[in-house]
Amino acid sequence: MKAAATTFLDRYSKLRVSKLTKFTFLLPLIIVLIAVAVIVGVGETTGNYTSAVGIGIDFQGGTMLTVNNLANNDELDAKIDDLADVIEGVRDEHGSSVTISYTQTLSGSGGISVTFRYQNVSGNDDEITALNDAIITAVENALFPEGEAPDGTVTYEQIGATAAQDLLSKAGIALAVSTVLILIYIIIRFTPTAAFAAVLALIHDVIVMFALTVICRVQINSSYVAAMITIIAYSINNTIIIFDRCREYLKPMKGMRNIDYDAIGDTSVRENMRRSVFTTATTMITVVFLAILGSSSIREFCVPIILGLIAGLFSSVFLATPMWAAFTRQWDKLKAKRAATATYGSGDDEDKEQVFAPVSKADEDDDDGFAPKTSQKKQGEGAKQNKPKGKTIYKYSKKNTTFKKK
Amino acid sequence: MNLKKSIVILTVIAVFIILMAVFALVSFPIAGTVYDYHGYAKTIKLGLDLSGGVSAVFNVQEDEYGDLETRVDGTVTSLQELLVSEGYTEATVTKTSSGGNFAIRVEVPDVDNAEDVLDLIGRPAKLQFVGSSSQGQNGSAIPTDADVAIEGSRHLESAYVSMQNGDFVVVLNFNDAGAEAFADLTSEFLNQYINIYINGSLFSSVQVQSEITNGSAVITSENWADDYNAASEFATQLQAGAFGVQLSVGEVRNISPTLGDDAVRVALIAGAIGVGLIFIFMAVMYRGLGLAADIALAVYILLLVWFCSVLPWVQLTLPGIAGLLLSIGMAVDANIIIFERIRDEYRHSMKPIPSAVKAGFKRSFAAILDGNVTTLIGAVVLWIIGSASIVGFAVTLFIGIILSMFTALVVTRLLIKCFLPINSTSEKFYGLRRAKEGEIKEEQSFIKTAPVKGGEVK
Repeated sequence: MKAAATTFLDRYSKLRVSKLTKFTFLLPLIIVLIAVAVIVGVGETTGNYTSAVGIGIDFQGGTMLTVNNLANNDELDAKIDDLADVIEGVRDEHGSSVTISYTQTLSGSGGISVTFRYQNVSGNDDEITALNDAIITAVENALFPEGEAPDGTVTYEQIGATAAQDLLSKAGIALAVSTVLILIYIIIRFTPTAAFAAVLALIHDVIVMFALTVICRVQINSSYVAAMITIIAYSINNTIIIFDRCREYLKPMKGMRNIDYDAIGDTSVRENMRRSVFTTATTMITVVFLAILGSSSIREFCVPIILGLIAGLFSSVFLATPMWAAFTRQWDKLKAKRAATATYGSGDDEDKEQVFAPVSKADEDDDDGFAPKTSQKKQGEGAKQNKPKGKTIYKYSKKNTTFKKK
Repeated sequence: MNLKKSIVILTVIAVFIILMAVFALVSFPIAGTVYDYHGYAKTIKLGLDLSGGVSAVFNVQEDEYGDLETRVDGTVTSLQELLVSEGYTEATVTKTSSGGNFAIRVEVPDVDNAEDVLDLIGRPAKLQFVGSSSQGQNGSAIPTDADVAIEGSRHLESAYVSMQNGDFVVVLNFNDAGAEAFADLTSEFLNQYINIYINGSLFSSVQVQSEITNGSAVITSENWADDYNAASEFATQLQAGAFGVQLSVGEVRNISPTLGDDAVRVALIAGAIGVGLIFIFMAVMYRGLGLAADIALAVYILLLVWFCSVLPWVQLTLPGIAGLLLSIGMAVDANIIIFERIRDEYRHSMKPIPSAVKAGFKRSFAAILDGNVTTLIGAVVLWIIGSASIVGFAVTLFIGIILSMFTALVVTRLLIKCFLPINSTSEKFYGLRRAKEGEIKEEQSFIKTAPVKGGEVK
């Protein structure tokens, strides 16, 4: 036992997420491919692609079947469950059956009625009518095993989408706007590369959560929009906490060259691992119990959140920092390239202090981004010549091969 | 902080928690009045999915203007907007059809009485404007030969109460055809009267003060100059006649929650188990610090429930509950970040516990701030842009984040500061320990050691 624990700790202390990118970047891709396969597979067999993706009754509309004049006694709940089984048991000519999304009891004048709402399994009006008629017959037979059911016992009507027309479009716009604002915030507080890595991780979460929902065959209803927003808010938070550690490590190294960003990222991830796992666990615990105890429509809401929390944890730990490291490395290279329009100084007398005039280039604010020109005192560029010389002093030292403003 | 002061603060917090918890649940009659006090946790408004409500079916009347379905869709949208403006963000409006007949089903949560729905959206009716040379008698029937200039369903877009020169007025907005018809009507009957008939009986007779060509009219009256309710009643009645189709009230019934009758109970049980496990987890993992976090979390949950019950936008639905759970998760998260930092500080230095605590709080502040601000950005954008049903979620998330930052950075800190004078040296109590030999953090160098040649930059 103890040996196992030590090897685990040993291996954990050597965990380097940047070395695992071969597997970790492949995994989301595989999930997405499986989801596509599921959509195409189900869509081809049923001919109904929206239900293959799992777009639910809130967005699609469907049928509302009403059973009237039920006795209001203790057996009502059991009766409703029986009827639901009867309805879901009826199959159409393709062998598909409906899945009830919402069950509701209506009380007030005229006894108890129960409505069952379900999505149509076919896109063809005649087939829908045929299936609904078959369901009515089955329900009437279940209610009145012998004898005729009174008129109006079971009725059905087609219902439109309940989700407000603009729910999806407004949610989409809101997501886009908040993503841009978050991007700007991270650029201000961190670096542009961190911002892009974080937003890419965010997009990963959205896609993978959606793919996992499709694979698990969970219906997408209006509460799904809220579930997705929940996950996005949560995952970005997770990523930021790890980037904060990176930022802290980078602080004393400002302006240095050859920083091992991968090592910084790995260390930050490792040191934050306890916190990442604990936090996801404490958030997930309540949702898991809600999913276990709740009815099927509650589960429909909780399962995507659980899947999303896992996807968010995965992207924050395994994807965000390697991406950040890679981006930052490229960024540094780019800066160096831009700055390398000039050659290095004579270089022999590096111990001696040299004084250079300021170089008026676009990337002047980059601490490590540019090299001085040789003998520029004499032949500076046109724009430079008017400037007072020697106002800013750069000290050249080989130690970290950079120039510090004095 | 000395011992005496910290005991006083701890007592105050304990009393606060107990009082808040009691007032959340008990109900009692308030002495000397006819009102009862209801525990604030019980007065949180619940959405359709959790508490059910009332459903009203409005049958759409056939008419001769054609393209009924498009206008039914338009009416669904305007009914939805009307309900949202009345504060029922979680109400649903559905178009139904059977055998070529359309109906509109309105479901309003958290309403006890079926009749209340009709008070809310008015009783959809036939609204007609007829020019007249004399002021009519309220309640009189529409003349059979009346020349109906404007019909609510075809010409009127909206009617609402506004304020003008300190008096309440009712503003009418006409669509393009209505603006034209109204301009004709007002020019023909300038300084005469327009009779407004509802379902064929005279509702009000209004004098025309000027010719109105811009499609927007204001009705003033002494009856409602100072009385918002009277103005609102008038506007609601006109608005109810302004839907694109003519509606008649069908069946009105009480409905059960869409998520099942025991949805709230299940959510409460799941929440209780989850929060209980979080409490135990924190206490086990972080001992004394965890205890402080638990107390802060209790304060947090009570404040959150209180805010949800007093803020008008919050109508709790399943997504709203998710927002709450998420923010509880984030409240715990902030504590975990701080405590992990304190652990690290203590482990890898020779600092005494109070300094390690102080450093831990200081160094985790940036991370907590940035993490919460990004989430806050999302919540605010959703609040501003999102459609009605998302606003409730955004508001709960927003309150939750602000409160979680407050409890983690202020309450937890205060509690730990109170613990320190009582016991400032016990590693066991705070769950801290120094690094053992061999565990000492290596001074890692993040600079690559590969040789650098002068020309490599290129």
